[in-house]
Amino acid sequence: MPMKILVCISAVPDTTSKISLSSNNFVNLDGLTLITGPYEDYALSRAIEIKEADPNNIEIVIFHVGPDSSEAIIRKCLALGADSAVRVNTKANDSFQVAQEIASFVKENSFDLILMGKESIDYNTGLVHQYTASLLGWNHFSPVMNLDVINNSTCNIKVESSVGTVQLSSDLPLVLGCQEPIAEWKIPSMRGIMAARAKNIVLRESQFDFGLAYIKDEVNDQKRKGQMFQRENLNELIEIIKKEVRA
Amino acid sequence: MKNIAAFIDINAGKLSSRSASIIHLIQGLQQINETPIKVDLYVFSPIDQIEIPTVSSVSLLEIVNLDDSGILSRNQIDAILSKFNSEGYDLLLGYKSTFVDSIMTRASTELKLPLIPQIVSIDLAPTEMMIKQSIFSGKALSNLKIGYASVLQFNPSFEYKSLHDSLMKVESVKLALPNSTSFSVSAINKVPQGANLADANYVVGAGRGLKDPSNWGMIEELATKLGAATACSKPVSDINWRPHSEHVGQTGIKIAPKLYIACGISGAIQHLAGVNGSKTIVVINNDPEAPFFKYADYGVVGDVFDVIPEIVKNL
Repeated sequence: MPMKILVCISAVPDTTSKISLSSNNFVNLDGLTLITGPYEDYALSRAIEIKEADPNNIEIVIFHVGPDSSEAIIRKCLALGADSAVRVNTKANDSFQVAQEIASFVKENSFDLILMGKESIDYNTGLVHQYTASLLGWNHFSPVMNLDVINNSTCNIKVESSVGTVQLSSDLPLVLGCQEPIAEWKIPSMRGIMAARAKNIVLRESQFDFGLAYIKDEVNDQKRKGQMFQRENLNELIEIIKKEVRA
Repeated sequence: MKNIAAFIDINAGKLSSRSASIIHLIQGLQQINETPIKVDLYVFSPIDQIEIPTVSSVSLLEIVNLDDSGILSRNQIDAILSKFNSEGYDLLLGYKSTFVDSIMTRASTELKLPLIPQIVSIDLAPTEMMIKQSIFSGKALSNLKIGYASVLQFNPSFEYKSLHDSLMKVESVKLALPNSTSFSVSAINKVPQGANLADANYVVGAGRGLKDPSNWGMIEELATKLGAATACSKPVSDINWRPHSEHVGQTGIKIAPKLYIACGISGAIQHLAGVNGSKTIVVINNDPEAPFFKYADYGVVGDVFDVIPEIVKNL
């Protein structure tokens, strides 16, 4: 039996994007350059390295919750070496909704390993992998810095914990949140890009409602004082630091 | 609202400032609620007794028999959840950590309570709360209205003012977890647990402008004088000048101190994403064009090797 890896990816605005609101007072993503979340890039890159070591026995499926504007990002994941993709055709609103979509897909289609980033860089909650593991009753680790799969049945993992870093092994199935230096980011080859055109992106209807009552967003316009000191007036800055620490 | 469970943490032997804000919020909840609310505080570090802002009907539960790895296993989370189920909590409060995440997500799914992460402020009304969440690494905020039955997780910059100044002492009751059975550990590489960066009041950060890891002595000296935690930029942790646990930024720790002093850090947008919760930012850099100056409250264009020792000497 080949081992099946599900890599869940988010489509996020580039870090340098300026956030603005649309007329309905929610963050407007139209016109922003969307990228695969950087942590998901690490997760996918490691999955591809694992597949490259044993190409006939590993299958990689990309899973994404998002509208059709994400297709280009998914196509790039396929060009990097994933075998197929599933897109849940709805806006990703919160961690629980996304985790429910992942868990329901995984219950219908058996997987051995679920990889994703330790957090998405838009909402930064870092909860999707935790929730997914809770819903499936699987073991879970995050943030994983090193991953080796042994005999398609056990994983050797290096993970950051509250005490430092820990080397451990845990049997599959597993849900892992990934971070650097788990793998080197990959660049798609021309051959990969051509092959990706023929690969399948399966559309899936959303099954879970989103129940929270969001009212509006606001842009956080932090105004900093921007007061500059000359080197010879350093003592004035030192007084300010003293005051800040005493306050 | 009947029973609250709150996760609190200890920083240098005292209640952390983020946990103090959580307890202040509990004061507010007890004040607006007509019937008494029972409060169970959970802590993961060894503590027999602790001073907290005064609240009614409070117990302190110290979770013991944690694994040396610092990871909660699935069977241990099961044990905590069965306690939660029997206590019938309908409001859970806590800071962000891997431990708390793993319990809160399980509690949210099993107790059917919505989990609201990244909270920076809350207004309490009789039947609902108005919540602001930090999104896009603090570049924006979202506003939502929610009933009290929920799981609330607070951003490091969350603050809630105390209703009164009185303090009380609570003694802990031990809550022993079963031994971890879900995985096997082969090696643990402990990092020294200095001041908790995410909850530090003062932080001194340094970047590649320091030129060599052997030059961090003056940064540590400055930090010691201020009672600050030390941080670093991503390039510095990538080349192993400083441990990854000090890396502050988009892909590292997010900090929200009262004062952040950035030394020899140019201020790449990825670094700013980790520090924009700071109240006051001081930037020291020899490059007048460093982008960080645009995001600073106070700045000095100068050589870190000249400026920092001068500050240390005069503090």
